[in-house]
Amino acid sequence: MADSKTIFVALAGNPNSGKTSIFNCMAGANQKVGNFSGVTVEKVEGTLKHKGYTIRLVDLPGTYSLSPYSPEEKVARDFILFQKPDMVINIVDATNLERNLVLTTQLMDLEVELLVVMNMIDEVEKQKTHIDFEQFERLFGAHVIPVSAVTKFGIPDLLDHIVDIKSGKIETKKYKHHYTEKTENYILQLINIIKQRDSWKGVPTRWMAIKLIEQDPDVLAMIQSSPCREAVNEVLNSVSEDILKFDQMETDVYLAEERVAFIHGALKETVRNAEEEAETFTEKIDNILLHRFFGMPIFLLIMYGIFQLTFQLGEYPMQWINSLFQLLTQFLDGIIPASIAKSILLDGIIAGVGGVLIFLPNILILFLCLSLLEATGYMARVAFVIDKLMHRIGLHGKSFIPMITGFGCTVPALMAVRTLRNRGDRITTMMVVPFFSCGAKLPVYTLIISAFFMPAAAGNVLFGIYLFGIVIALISAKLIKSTAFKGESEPFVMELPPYRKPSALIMLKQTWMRAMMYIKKAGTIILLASVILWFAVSFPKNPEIHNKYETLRLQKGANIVQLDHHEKAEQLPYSVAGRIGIFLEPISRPLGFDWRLNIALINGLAAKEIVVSSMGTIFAVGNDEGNINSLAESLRNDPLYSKAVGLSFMVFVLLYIPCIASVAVFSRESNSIKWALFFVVYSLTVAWIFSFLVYQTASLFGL
Amino acid sequence: MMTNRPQVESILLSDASIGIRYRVLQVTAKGIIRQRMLDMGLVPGVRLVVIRFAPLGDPIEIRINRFFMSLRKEEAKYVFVEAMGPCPHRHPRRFKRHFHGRF
Ligand SMILES: Nc1nc2c(ncn2[C@@H]2O[C@H](COP(=O)(O)OP(=O)(O)O)[C@@H](O)[C@H]2O)c(=O)[nH]1
Repeated sequence: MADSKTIFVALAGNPNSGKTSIFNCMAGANQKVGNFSGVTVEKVEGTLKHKGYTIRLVDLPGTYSLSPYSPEEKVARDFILFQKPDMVINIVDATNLERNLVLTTQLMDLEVELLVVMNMIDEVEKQKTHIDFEQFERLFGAHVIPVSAVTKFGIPDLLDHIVDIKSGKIETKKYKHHYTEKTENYILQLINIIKQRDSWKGVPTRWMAIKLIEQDPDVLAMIQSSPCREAVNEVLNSVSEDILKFDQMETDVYLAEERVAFIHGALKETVRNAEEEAETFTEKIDNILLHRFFGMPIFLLIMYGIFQLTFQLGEYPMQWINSLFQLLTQFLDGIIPASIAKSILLDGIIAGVGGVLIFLPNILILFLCLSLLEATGYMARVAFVIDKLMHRIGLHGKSFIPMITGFGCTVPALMAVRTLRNRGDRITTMMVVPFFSCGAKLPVYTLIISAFFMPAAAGNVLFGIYLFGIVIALISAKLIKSTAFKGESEPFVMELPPYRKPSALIMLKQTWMRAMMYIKKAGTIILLASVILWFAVSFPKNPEIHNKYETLRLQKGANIVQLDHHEKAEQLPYSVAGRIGIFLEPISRPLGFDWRLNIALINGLAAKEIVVSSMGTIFAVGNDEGNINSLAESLRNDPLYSKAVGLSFMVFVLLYIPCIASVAVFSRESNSIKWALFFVVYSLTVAWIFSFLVYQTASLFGL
Repeated sequence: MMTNRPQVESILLSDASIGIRYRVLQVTAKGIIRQRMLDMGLVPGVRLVVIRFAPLGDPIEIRINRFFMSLRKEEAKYVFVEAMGPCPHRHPRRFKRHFHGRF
């Protein structure tokens, strides 16, 4: 690792400082996305060569500070402390130094080799702001490199600096950020106490001392098990007392104020701004986009636009993929002789791969839209506009997008949840997303409604189902948030970043990487599940029935297609799926479902698209699309079924597990098998309870 | 620990009006909210302007220097500020009757 020709570099910076853009400028296509071990924080790594050196880049999550309150910040801080990169590149947004430099001062406290990159220098120039870089370097003791990720200005200079620092050609001064004399005194006292005791795994003692004064829980915990605890606590008590008495503040506020004051002073010396308080470009746009009357309609229009784009535009490539797989199946059907292997290949594997790829257009379009919102800066406004409502159920404004995406398809909706920072919010949102009825469930409702309801009532019933799903989702969110993640509310204290022109290349790249991640992880599971399900539906067969149909088929003028349908239907109760369906009857009876509906629901686990076609098989009308009417007909005329069963069935389809793909993605995105299992149990339980209530009530009224 | 409330006339940031300049006196939030505020530079002594309320009346948008941030009213209750007079580039009148209603 530590060979002299490899430079290990971490990128740190605020969100929206342009970290991703600079990373891309540096590493180009050589990047790899993964997770930091143990947490669902995205880790992007890349390598590049420069002047005979190999530079290994790790993009730390964008953070405002290195406090231990969020997983991102903890990850960034632990990485710097324990992975010990050769140097840390701190990317700051030069148009907003006042806030960006807070992180810089914290990095200075960590005593790392620090290189400050002032990004967005093109905008600085446009604003006619002047920055005195030399004076800045003197004050911060770190090399400052002006850069623009958009015009690529300064990138070669940055690479040169990285190599020069490593090779010792230039030396960083590693200035310490000096606090007031009073604070420095206490810092010194603490250092003296703790440095005698332990090497603290190489964690800088000055940083520890500062964090102790700030009452940082992690560093306090480090001290608790050490014999110097008493002495440290004594000093800490006198610091708190002192600062509270003379400055009327708690220690952490005091230190934060000192940092801000230092930055303020430093900027006075180095930056000459154009008009300070004039309305900015972003503010002017927000006067319209966040207008108190038009803000809401505009917001809804944008959300509607994304929804339509994702699911209407996505419809075409989905059909192409569908036709492609049909053609492939037909082609293979023609050339491979009939056998079990063929059946596995066609009905199991190819159908499974198709089931994975069919989501791809939706995922690509949705993620492109989300990247666009994120990169332009509107994403933060989405949260700003809708937060009041979301906060009612204990969630953050950012949960809104995954939720409405759920109306299209649960899989991309679950993946959209990663834009949320708080784990409790993420899990809660994922738990309720499936209750927003996805597009694939619509054909089921349509079938049931046409079987049991007057055409005039169709609209109302459908609306009622969707509304019911939303209500269950909201109640569940409130419930989960106020029990499992009690008091873990994500604050809304956040930046509304300036609007910027996004980079198409980066958006495309990000979208593509996410899509690949979906295919790799979810794909394998969906494939496996499809094959298993295929086996369950097809085997074992009853030989007597098979023989009977073989004879029938040989008769003159036999309708082979129809005979095939009838055989399939008759074989079903003997298959594993059929047996499970029958086995489940005792618990499905109270909901009004017999074994046939159970099989349809089991099939629905693979994908809700399959429910209707599998009912076609079950009721021996064939599973082609033209048969919906005759299928509705069979359902209506079946003595076992009624309006009450229809209602109950729709409710169950609405609420139970959307599909295996969603469970796979849930488990991946939550990084927790436990929660994925709970998700399965919860949705099944909720579905059972409400179907039960609906069926029993409806039966009472004689429906 | 909220001893020694400052002597000047302090109001809660949640009660602040649009278009007026304020100076932060005290931050009494706890935990992660407090940390976020400090990280964003919302510390005693800093000047800010309230820019707007969200269309539904809740989160608030404020401006500190050249930086815009938002926070909920319930979070703004943890920030004491004092008024410093109107902000020359804004028009307090225009926003006076902003939507405070419940939704
Ligand atoms: N004008 C300008 N815009 C930039 C520059 N660097 C990044 N941006 C834009 O700033 C926004 C945020 O950049 P991004 O790299 O996603 O920031 P991150 O959140 O730190 O990863 C995007 O819209 C970028 O296109 C720059 O040097 N100049």
